[in-house]
Amino acid sequence: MERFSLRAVFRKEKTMIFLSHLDIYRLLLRALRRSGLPLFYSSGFNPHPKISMGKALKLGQTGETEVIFYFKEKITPDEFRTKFFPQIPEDLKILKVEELS
Amino acid sequence: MRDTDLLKFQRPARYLGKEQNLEFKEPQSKDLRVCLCFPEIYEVGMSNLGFRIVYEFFSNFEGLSCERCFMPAEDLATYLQERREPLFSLETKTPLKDFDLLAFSLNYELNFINFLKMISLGGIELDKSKREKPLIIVGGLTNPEPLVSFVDIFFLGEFEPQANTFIKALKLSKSLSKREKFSALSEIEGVYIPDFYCLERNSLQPKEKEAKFPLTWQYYQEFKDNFYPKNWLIPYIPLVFDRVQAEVQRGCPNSCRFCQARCVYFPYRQRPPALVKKHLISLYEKTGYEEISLSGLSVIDYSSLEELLKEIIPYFEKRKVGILLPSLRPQGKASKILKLLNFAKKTGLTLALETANPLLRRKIGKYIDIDDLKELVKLASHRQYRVLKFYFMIGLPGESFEEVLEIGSFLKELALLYKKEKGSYPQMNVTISYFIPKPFTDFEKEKMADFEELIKKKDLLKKSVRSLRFIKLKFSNYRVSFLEYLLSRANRRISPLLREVFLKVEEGADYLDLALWKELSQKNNLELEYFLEEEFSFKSIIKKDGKVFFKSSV
Repeated sequence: MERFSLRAVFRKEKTMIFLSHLDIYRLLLRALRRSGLPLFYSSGFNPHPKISMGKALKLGQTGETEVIFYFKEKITPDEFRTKFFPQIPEDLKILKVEELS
Repeated sequence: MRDTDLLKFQRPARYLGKEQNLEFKEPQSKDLRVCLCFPEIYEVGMSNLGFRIVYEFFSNFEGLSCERCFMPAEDLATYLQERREPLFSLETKTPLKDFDLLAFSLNYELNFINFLKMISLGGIELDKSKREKPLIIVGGLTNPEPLVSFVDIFFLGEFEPQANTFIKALKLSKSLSKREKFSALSEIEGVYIPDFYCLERNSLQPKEKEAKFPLTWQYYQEFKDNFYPKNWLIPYIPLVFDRVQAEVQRGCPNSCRFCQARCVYFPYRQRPPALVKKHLISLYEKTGYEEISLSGLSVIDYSSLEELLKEIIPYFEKRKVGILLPSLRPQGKASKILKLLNFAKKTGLTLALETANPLLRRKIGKYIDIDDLKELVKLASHRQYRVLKFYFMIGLPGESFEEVLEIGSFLKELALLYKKEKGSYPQMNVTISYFIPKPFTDFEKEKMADFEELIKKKDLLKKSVRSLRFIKLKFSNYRVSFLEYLLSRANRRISPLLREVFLKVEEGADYLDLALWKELSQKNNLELEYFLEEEFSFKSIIKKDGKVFFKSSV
């Protein structure tokens, strides 16, 4: 199945520093499910929206990490901003969104 | 406590109080300040549907500010105690002692100790007669009496029908004295003010002129077409029961004679499937949860279960959302239902059978369809469910040693059936609990089997399945069961004892040490047996409105 991807850079601040890497991962998946975007699901025993997360940020620290989102249709960074941004807490800042070739 | 200090503790997000979907209103100076409390850690408390329902009522009410507090984990509790800092609410980190009102959801006797711990950590005087503020309200109990020394007001039964009237009255009485509050609130159905009653010859009698007698037990008549917690808070950390829940029914159509929930949530009410579907989809859209579950006692008996599942499966299958049902009672259609759920996550199969002997099963009013059960086990083998979970009870009224031993042979028979289909044995996780005769049930006048008998039965059963490697037995803790038995039926004279036990526990004693309970009880010239032998029943001063009362077996 064809898939399209976007790369985003996140910054974890204030309240978000209380969340572990896994908590952030779960938060992003649920936000994706709410966003109404055309999700690309992982295959296997327990399918879920597919994302790839960059380096883990330690609980308690601010910092930046990179996440790749996969969709089954082409999504522009603007569309992503309108639909996905309202779904995440304001202390999880998205610094950059770009298409991956 | 500042947010950054929370980093000293395990899983600090427990105490953050800034979940998504939270619509917190900052308290205004005229507001009634309420803190909803739950005597277990965040992950347990936020899994509780009843707590969420009560929260929805309070948090939506105009002119009051509602926060939450859960039992802190041990690290935070110790920290607070050592520094003499008070336990605080999640939302604004306000000490519990500074609230106007603490409302506790309490539904389990063994949590009484956590309840006292939270009050004491909150910087609040335990003895209600020595404190003016905050007012402490408790809902969810079937026998409130052990807590009368500490609790100002109890709410009896389901909260929904009186919620808005009750909350409004609380708000209006904000500036009144405690005694005036009692008078004002006692008018509301479902409100029980223990100070207005006294114990006479082992039954409760009205003492003050405002005392309602009998009291009424509330149930939600409009359940079928109404309220559910719409504004589902999304936790940042995994909960013990981590999914959105939609109630399909309240009460239970079965008449298992040992079951207290069936009596307390009587009568049986169902929600139409179209409404449940609407609730589930709206909860999903609001949260993006990866699992949903249908909630209720014995969900398999919901009349429109098949219709409902057929309606929701396409929607959730498309979105890769798991649908979960609580434990199944094999009653004819369970295997059919399980077949429908084949796409969902394989969570294993849980069966509450209670006893293996058909005659004894009939005596306790539990009906099991053996063909359906066998079909379920076969289905499980085809579905690659490796683990089957079972629940049994021992110590049932009139139960013989032979009947206990039948559990082993019964499980073996099912395991062989599974093996015939699949070629290997399943793993059977079997939980055995000790039967506790609970008030409100048909067995309320029975005695709990004594320690010696139960341990003998336990050992025999263990021995009988020793060669069956695929069976893993887990027994309840006898001391826990005994305290549950004691506290579920004791009259109010146990309340001071509970306080003394708590104080000893604070000094390092074990809450479950029955010898400690005996010793402290005797110090007050009371034998523990007194509470078990006196036939006290809180039920005797309540009725459900009109003709409807707790139904005995059909």
